[in-house]
Amino acid sequence: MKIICLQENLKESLITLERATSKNQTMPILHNILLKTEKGMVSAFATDLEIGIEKHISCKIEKQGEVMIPVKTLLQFIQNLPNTRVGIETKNNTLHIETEQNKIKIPITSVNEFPLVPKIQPTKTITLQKGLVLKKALQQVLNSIATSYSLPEITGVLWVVEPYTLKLVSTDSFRLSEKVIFQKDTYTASHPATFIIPQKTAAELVRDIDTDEPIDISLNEHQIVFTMKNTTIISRLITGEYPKYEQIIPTTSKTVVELEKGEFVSQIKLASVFSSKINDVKVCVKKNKKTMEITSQDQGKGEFYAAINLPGVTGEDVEAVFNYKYLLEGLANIEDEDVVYELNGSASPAVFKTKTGDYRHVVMPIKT
Amino acid sequence: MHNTELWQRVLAEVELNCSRASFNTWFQHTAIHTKEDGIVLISVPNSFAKEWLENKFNKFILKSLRSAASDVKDVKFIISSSPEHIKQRKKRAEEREVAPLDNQFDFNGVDKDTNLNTRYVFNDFVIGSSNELAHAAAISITKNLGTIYNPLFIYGEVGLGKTHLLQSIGNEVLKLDKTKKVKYVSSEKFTSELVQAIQNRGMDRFKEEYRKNDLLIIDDVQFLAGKDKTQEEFFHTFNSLYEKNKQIVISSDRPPKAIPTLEDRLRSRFEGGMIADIGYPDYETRLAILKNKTVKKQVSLSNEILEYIANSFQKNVRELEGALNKVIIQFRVSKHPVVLDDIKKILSPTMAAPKKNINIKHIIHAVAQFYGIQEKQLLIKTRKQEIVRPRQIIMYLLREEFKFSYPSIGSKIGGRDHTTVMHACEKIAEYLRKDDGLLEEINVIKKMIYNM
Repeated sequence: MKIICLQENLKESLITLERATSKNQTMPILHNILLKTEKGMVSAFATDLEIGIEKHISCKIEKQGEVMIPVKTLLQFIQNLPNTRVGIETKNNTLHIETEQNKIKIPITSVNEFPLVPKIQPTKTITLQKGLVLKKALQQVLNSIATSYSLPEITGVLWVVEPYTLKLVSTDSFRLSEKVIFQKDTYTASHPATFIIPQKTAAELVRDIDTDEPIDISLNEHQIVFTMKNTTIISRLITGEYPKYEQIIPTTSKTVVELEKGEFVSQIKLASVFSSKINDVKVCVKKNKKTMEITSQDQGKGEFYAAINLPGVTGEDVEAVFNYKYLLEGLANIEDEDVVYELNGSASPAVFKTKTGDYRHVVMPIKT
Repeated sequence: MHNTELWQRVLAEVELNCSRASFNTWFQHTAIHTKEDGIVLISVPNSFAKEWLENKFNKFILKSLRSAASDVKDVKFIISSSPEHIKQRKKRAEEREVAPLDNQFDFNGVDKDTNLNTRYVFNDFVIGSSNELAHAAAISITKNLGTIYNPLFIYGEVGLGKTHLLQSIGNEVLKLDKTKKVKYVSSEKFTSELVQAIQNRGMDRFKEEYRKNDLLIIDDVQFLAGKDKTQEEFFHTFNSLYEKNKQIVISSDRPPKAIPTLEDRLRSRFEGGMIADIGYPDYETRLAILKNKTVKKQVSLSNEILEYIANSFQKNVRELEGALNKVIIQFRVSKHPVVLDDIKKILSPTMAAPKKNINIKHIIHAVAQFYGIQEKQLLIKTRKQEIVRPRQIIMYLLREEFKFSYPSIGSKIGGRDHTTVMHACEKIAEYLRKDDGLLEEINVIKKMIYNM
């Protein structure tokens, strides 16, 4: 095999691929990427057996072939090069890399050891017309995904694909994010579908989607493939049943508050300085005064008090204690400046909503 | 040869014929899933492994399977839905998480407002002669809320399905009309909420909370016994609902009359509606329950086994289900077909001790042993104090524990008159009231008898 490409293109792809290689010491084959020429293009593939990423790299092909390269060595070398032309060639079990100034030789092992890319027979397909819509939606639910494996079903993002809405849901059982994408020309689906993609896959998609090009998704019971213009991501699906999350989201609310996000966020940040070990911040809505009081205290650090004016309050007065991290992270997922905050007393979940209702973030108060 | 053993042999052979790295990559967490009609199904952790083994190792695996078990014809691969390494991860995570935090969402299907668990529905309730009245009453009130039987009082021993019936009523009412306000609460919870309300000066809200319901279900009402303030509050709640024709459903482990220290005004109200009891399920009902459960859990156990379980656990549906679960687990993990003898072995520790044939000899033996006297001495005519008392105890035990008639006791204990026996029983009963030591003694003797 012999190809010539630009350092910049190669570097970008290698950085992505490196994330997909396995860190597992007992599986050294997975520390490699497979580079091969295919239909006039060069593709590079890496996998840790849970997720696999294929990148198309634009370059000039002089001789067809394939080669397996240890990604770490290659990436470190390519990263530190200036942006020049890089020639890659295989000769007698050695990989030769040449730039204007450098000549590198890397011993290579047989490609026969490298994992085969599983061919999946899709049973369902979905097409997202605008890549960035998915990217943004995934970003909004990414930080609520559970990191503990005690309930494996919630260590990923639930997709509920229906004729008119596509819902993305994540929860770590302390808070829950739900994003709704409405059908209006944003997606088409062959069948209704419900599935869970692992956290790593969701995070990888957020990183890899950078254009508004359409994304094709095909899946079966165990596997899902996201096909983008230059990148293909193949991932396992989490098997198991997602908890019935709808019943967590309160349907009525005792107190409804309209908030200016910026002010609320900055006051919560200030309050967090004085919160105790459990990150508790107390929120107290006074309907008659149209204010919200935010307090926090810690024996060692001191006490904090702030009052913010509320543009709108309905319902009853309420007092509830929250983990400030969940409040801040939930609000960070909302772009709009106007946020609706619904509370249900000190022991039932509260909800942050966008005015359009396309995003909901449910937070459980800390019981005192 | 067991599947695990067979697979071990294949793995050993593979290991010799491929590199260490490749072996680790592709054969970790693989196992034989099933072996049927000569087709061996191998479970693999992911689709990469499936693709690899199918393409590169298919022939090799088949060959070495054949050399170990000649009846193997073909080999297939499936992706295991719960791979071993994910289970391990889960286990590790659970070990790390010491205490569950209570500010978590509750995914268990219990509705926060109504306290109802959606798991309980009428469809799963097995009807038999012992509970058909209660069931029919429950069904009819869901259709005529608050108008026909109000209150409905259901009583029965533990583990016979009271809670199931009660929750089903709530769920059914909600199913028919979502706007109805339903609340299910145990009397213990009612009490603790009341206490909290008193502490926080939230009585108004507490009253409002209970009096707005269209259907109030109180479980295990016998625990209200002796709690006067709670009873009073409950009485008012009851009245206010009753006046508005709102349905009330109550359960208890005994009829209202038999609940001690229940205020008369409450008792009379409980008796004012419909009282239905749930008795012990008969054999057919028990068998039907077991069959229902096996269908639900998708296992097929032979009739013989189900009949055995139904026969062994007669007084408690919960124990019956527990026994069935135990058998099902055994059935799933066991590599060879489960036969009745295995079941007997598994269940024997939990089995409700089948009534042993305890005869007079056992009792005399136990008493004699306990007091260090010879058995025949107990039967001869003598008024020695150290003989008389034990003899009276024997008679007392025969009467109280084993319901022998006075004359038959007399004739068996050395041909005595029935009045002598009556006198002995009265005497011991009297001593028992005065002397705790004797009670202890008798308890020890009873234990000896039952453990013989």
